[in-house]
Amino acid sequence: MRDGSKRREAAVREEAAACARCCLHPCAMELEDDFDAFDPERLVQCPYNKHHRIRACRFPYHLVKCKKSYPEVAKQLATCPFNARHLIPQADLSDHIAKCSYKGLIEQDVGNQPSDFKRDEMNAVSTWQAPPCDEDWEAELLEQSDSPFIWGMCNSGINSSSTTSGRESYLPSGVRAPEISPYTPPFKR
Amino acid sequence: MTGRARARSRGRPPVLESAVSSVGAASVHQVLPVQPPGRQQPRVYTSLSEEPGGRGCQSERRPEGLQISVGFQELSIADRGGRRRDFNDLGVNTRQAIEHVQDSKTGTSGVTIKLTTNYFRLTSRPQWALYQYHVGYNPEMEARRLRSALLFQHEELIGKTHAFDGSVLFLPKKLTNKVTEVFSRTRNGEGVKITITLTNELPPSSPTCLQFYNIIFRRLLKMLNLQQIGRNYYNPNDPINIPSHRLMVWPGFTSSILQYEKSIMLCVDVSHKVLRSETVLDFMYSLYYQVEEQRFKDTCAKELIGLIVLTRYNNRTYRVDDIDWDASPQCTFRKSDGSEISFIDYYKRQYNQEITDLNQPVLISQCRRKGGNTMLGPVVLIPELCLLTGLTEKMRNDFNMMKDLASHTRLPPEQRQREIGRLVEYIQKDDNVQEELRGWGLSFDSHLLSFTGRVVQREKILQSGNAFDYNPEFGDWSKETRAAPLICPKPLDNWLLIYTRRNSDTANILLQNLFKVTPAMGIKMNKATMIEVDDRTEAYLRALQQSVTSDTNIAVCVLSSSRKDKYDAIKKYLCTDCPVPSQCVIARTLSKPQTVMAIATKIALQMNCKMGGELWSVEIPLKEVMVVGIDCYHDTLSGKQSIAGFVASLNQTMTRWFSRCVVQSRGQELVDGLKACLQTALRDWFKWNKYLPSRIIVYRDGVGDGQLYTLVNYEVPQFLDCLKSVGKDYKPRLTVIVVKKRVSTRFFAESMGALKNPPPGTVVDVEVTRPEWYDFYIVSQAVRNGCVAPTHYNVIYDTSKLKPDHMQRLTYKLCHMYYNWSGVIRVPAPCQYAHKLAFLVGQSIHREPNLLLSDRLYYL
Repeated sequence: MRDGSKRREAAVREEAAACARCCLHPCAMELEDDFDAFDPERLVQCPYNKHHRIRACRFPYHLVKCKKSYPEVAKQLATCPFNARHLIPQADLSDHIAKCSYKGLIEQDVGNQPSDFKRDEMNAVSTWQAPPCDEDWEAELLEQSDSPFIWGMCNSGINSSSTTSGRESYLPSGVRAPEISPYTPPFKR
Repeated sequence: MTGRARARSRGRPPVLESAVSSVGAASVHQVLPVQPPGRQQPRVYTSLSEEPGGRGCQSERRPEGLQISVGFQELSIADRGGRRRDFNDLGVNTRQAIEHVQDSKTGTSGVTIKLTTNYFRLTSRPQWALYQYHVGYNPEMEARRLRSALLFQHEELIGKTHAFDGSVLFLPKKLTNKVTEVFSRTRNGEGVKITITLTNELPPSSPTCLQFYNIIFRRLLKMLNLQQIGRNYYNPNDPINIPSHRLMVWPGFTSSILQYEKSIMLCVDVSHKVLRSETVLDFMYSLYYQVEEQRFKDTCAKELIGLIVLTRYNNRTYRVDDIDWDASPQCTFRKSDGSEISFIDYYKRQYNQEITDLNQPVLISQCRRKGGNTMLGPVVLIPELCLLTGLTEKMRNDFNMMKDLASHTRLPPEQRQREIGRLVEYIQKDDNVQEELRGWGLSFDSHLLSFTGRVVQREKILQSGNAFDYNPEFGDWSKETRAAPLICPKPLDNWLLIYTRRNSDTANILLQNLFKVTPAMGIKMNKATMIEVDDRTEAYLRALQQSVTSDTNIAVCVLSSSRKDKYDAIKKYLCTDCPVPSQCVIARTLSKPQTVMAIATKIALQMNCKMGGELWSVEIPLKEVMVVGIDCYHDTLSGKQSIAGFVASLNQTMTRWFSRCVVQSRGQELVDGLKACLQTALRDWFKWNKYLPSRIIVYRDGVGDGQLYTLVNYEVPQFLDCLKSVGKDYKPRLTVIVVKKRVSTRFFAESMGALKNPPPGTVVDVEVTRPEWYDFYIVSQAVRNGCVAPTHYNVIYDTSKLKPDHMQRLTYKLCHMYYNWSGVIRVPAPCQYAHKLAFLVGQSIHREPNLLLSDRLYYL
């Protein structure tokens, strides 16, 4: 307990310091906003209990701990697809996704591939084929009962020569290629 | 208590942490059933610290009816509170969730090999148990010292052998009564009633006992006059001096006692502390003569801030955070009793240290950890009394110095075993130590543990229709594959060679040699566009801006020195704004005519990889498998952001890799953006293969001690979430393996009476692994001098149903696939690629590189 109280004191002091900083910046108190998004000492509010204010560097550890302590709250929260630190009430997820500052991470490349890159990529596929293996580990799986999972494989062969336009057809219904973001806000559907 | 926690409380008696647990709960559970080790999740206790109102532990009374869990009781002497981390990842039982390794996690293939390891079995007398008591005082005594003194007035009752932290008492014997009441008298004659209540009877393998063993062992090391620095113990009385480099090496040991596969064992390894026999003041003087007066203070601050210094008078280490140029040793400060004293007098009186230079500035060290017993302010240090520790970058680059140092620190197997044996000898010869051990009824085996390991079959290197065998003793096939064509050579149709006027000869030599070596590899090469520039960063950048077009295959820059800023600027420009592969060569590396061919060969291979070429492969007897590697780069010293590197294989032969990286806050080891990384990797995989992988195997490197629990609960869900988001019916098999390079386990192979390093491919999955994990060790690399360090692999999540044998062999196969080294490496190639990527981005680029490069090994 002794340790706990000291930590609280330290947290209070840090919080005071944080407040002094946030006066300078209007949005500093917002979760994960970037007055210095990479400062590990910055205090972040815990989504499970608003009284918990956690140093950013300990935040993931705290989330794991609190998820266990508040299983009821945990059910209400969804994890942002772009950053696992963002735990958002289920209902607000689509809103959050629309404006999440880490969205760039996944979307940077979606519209960013010039056509000549495609050509380059086609060239990139090596024609080399590995010789057949002496072993087949798939045949020796520890549990033989369920058949080995083969995903979207209608045509076998790695360098399937079909064009990219027809690729959707390889997928069973209810499945899409990861290129299509599943996180389209409802109003856009 | 763990090592670092120990370090924090250095100077305090061994068992310090008071156990809140036993208060109140004491009368409820008298003898508790003890859970088997590893079943308990370690962090149950932390919920306690969230209670409002911090009170002293002695006055703490838990409300009636609120019972503390068994687990908490168990861990009472262990770490509590968020900061005390469990460095051995005790109690993270990942194996129980992996169905197919419940019965056996051992592999079968390969030939057996007799191995010795640096472990000693801990033995105790039969029916051994540790008795845990709670000690209460009436009236309440606050001071811990006083509490101990009062209790030990009754030594005849308690006995000589005991461990007491102010509230919890451990004894090797059972007192006659469950509750014993005794009376003591304080110095002022006040009578105190002491109640000693038995709360727990612990069998040898309970988690509390393990912590207890470690505490006792540390006590023994202290009895042997070893000095604790960090988590290890060193012997300052027997230093190795290397006068030619003004270095001093303290030999020492790192130790831990844990429950392993079959028994509780002590793992001992040799550790060395490198000290510079130069004080900070000496350093300041020598710097003063090197730089101009007006730049002195700045240079000094730049060189010193961030360094760790050791003060010999108390053998503690401090980080230099600031230099106070206005202060001097003649300044005074106020002691805790209120009296003013100057630093000179203080050091004279306290430590009998004479300060001779009265005009030196003082160093300021901020106490990094808040808390402890008192609120610690900044610590003032006198440069004259501070020894520099560790090696500077400059020293690391000094080949001769590192060689001399290595002769003392890199011990070959025989010598290493001898050094380890020395510790055991110390323990067995010291009467006090023996008495303490006898008192507890414990002893250690006098011989290193021996058992049988396996050497798995050798891999064939496949390179364009040929299968090469290599000499396993060296773990290297550069000779064998020298003249063989590559799997996928990339033509050098249109490429740039940029150099300074002074290096124009070097550039031509490089070009000629590339023409000599590339045809055998199958690389078609045109003459480069040669560009001569001034030796300035801007000149290089301007040349790149003017000459790089969308058809440029690669830009090669010959640099005149290893100046980092030029390299950084070139890499940054060519990785972000203008995504083209680049190769930097320092002119000096091409200066020796006898090696220039070999170097040109290496450069040609590296350039080929950077352009998306493929060199060799090994057999992978699995289909539709995507292998992922993750590693983190930290630069805590200069306070830069941490980078997580992520690479994923793109094809069946694992010759092409997709990469991404995530910029994170300083020092952050867990990755937040894994979902997005895996999603883009899957998308690229789909683009290449027109189907999705049915297995995903993740090798996760860069996990610190004590982070396993959070990793399991924070990163694994991110992978699972990502796979779920792909589609309802998409259920690939996922395996997550934690890779650890820094382990103190060493294996020695016995061959013809001598101890040697085990050959590459040695797999150990018995005896020294942990029962609660699906883990194994692989020695994959060969080393020329010193002891080979095995790599530890811990499969924390696995729905693959792959045999342990195949998991081990796949891991070993992947150690062959790192294209920057034609040999076997310490970790699977994806980990090394992720490391390289994170390093490049963290050192030079500082933001995510352009994704147009993401399907090539541009970061090699």
